[in-house]
Amino acid sequence: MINYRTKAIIKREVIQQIFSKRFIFATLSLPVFMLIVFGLQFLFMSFEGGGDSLRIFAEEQSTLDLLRNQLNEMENNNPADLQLTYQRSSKDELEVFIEENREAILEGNINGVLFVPATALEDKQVLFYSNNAGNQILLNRIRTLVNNVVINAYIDSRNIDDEIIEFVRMNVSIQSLRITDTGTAEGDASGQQAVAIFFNILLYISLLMVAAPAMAAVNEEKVSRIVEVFLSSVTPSELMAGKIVGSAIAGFTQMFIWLIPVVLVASGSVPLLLAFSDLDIQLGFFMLLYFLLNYLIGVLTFLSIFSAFGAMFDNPQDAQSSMFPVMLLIIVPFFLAFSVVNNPTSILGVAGSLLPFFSILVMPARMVLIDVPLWQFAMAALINLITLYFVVVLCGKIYRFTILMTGKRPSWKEIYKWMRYS
Amino acid sequence: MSELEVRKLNKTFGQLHAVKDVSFKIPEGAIFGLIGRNGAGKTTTIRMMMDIIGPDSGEILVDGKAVENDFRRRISYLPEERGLYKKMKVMEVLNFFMEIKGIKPSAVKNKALDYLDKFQLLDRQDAKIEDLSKGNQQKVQFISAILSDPEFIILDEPFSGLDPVNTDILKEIIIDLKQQGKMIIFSTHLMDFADRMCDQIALIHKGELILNGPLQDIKKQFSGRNISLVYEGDISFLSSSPMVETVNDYGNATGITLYKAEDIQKVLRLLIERQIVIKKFDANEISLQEIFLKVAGGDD
Repeated sequence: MINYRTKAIIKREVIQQIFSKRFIFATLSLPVFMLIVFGLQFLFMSFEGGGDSLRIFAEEQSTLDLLRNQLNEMENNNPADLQLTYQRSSKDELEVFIEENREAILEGNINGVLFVPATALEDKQVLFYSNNAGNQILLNRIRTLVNNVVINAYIDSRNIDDEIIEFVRMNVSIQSLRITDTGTAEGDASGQQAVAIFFNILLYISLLMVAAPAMAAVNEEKVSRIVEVFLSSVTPSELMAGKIVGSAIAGFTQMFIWLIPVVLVASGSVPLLLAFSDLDIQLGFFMLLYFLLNYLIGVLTFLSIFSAFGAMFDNPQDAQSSMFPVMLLIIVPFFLAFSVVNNPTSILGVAGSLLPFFSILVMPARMVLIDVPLWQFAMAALINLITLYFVVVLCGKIYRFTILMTGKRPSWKEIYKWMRYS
Repeated sequence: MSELEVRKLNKTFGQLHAVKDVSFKIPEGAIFGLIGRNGAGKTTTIRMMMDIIGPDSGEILVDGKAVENDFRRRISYLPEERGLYKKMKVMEVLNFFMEIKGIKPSAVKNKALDYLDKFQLLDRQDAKIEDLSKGNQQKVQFISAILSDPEFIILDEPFSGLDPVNTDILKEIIIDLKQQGKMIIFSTHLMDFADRMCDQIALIHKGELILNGPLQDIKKQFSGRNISLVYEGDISFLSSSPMVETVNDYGNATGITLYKAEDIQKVLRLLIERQIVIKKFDANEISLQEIFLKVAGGDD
């Protein structure tokens, strides 16, 4: 099948795609884009609630002092640019303050007024005045803190042993331990979850980015009649094979480049960004190998389908509008893989990683989260290869039959007939 | 050099019998015209000859043997609808087409430059196809079809879209290729070109071959009752003459077909009596256009 004619077509496809502005831009911009998205998210989170002016009132001086200490400590550790003022006052004095400063509160010059009455040590009821009662960001920042202050004040007033106090105040720490074939590995799942999501997004983007332009290119060759020139020198099968293999090589190269930063991070060669420095990422050689081979099978499968669709229709609009059912074969597994990230051992996850088409996106997400049994890997690979075989045979038939056909838009019934008879 | 034979080709598309038992032979070194109306089955026949689509029955033979896979190396095709990759440069296109023919581009570089020079495209060798005019794109495509030095060249409407200067250049190159012993197969609607350039023709009508053979023999067959006349005056009276079957009048030149060959002298006498100025009167001349109209015109 791969003779000098096919090789010439593969060579042209690879050169045209790899040196195209679109390819270079996409290859370089995707990792940068993802870093920017994560970075911006981090940036926005760090700016949330900044610049707020908060007035703290307490009936008891000791409570006020505790609040000052805790809030100052919070500001030092995690600055949110809060302007804080503290004042000891009774409920009546507070009401006078609010009356006098009503305008400032309404205009947002004072974002909130917190009042901790003496009775808070009995019923844990504190008051918060604001022009925006739903200012959850500000409330969330101080809720735990005020709770701790009230608890501490209560404990202080009861003369309880320090050791007991320390134990009570200590949070439970759940250490996540992952059972693997080789033993028990200590680790935090969030790093692996990030990789699973990253793999899923990479596969989704790449499959669409490689297969959709291939469909457009095949359709353009048909519409512009370039294909007729080609077919005087090559067979339709050679032409289709050349175009698919060429596009797959270009896609594989792109995927390989995208994986390099992930591998460098996983190997510890490059420290993660500040926001993700706690993530523990473990990526073995087998995982990477399976991911790349799985991608190769996937991209060949979808390139075959998309190319056949490009050959079937007389214009790009008809081809695009008929693509939706095939797009679902990428979109649905993409969303399933996201749900698998939360529970990779679910029945849905196992089934998804063994179903034709679904397996291409679901298995890579699962394999980085749990130790997938070897038989499941073998089964998934076999299913993907069998799927690829049937797709290539059927789509090859459609391509050969339809690439020179012009006229009305074919119906699904006709497409089925072509597959049977061609 | 070789002889190409099409034997009993049949092709149906659903209910449409597009090509019915078409057979013809093309001798080596001939310029062969495959003519017919739109939808007659010419392109389908060519596609089967090129092995782009398979026939339902029949075969293509070269020197009496069925064509094999390497036939694609020996044949080139310039389709009616032109198509080149718009983003590729002229030399890249030519190199690519050589590679799919299994020829190293470096081996034909000088020849490519020579053809580009002949077509006045030498200074555009690094230009992108999309930056060329339609006529220039067509010339590049023609060069890509002949650069691999094929034995058989199929040209589908090669002159359409070319200006008179480029038409002349192309004609010269085609004649040069014929002199090199290449077999050239034209598919065309332009009877004038076919008339002047083809040695042999095959006329396909509604999928069937209705004329086939050396052009001169076919002309002889049709010219017995035919007069080619160049004149001045009014010859409208001929249309109502009981001797005349048809008159294809173009103002000062006409083709006249009679019911009987014996009436040729009577018609000449009639023209003189009516004081028509006769500049040319040829009783053995019939154009391919007239033959075409006789056998394929009229019945839609």
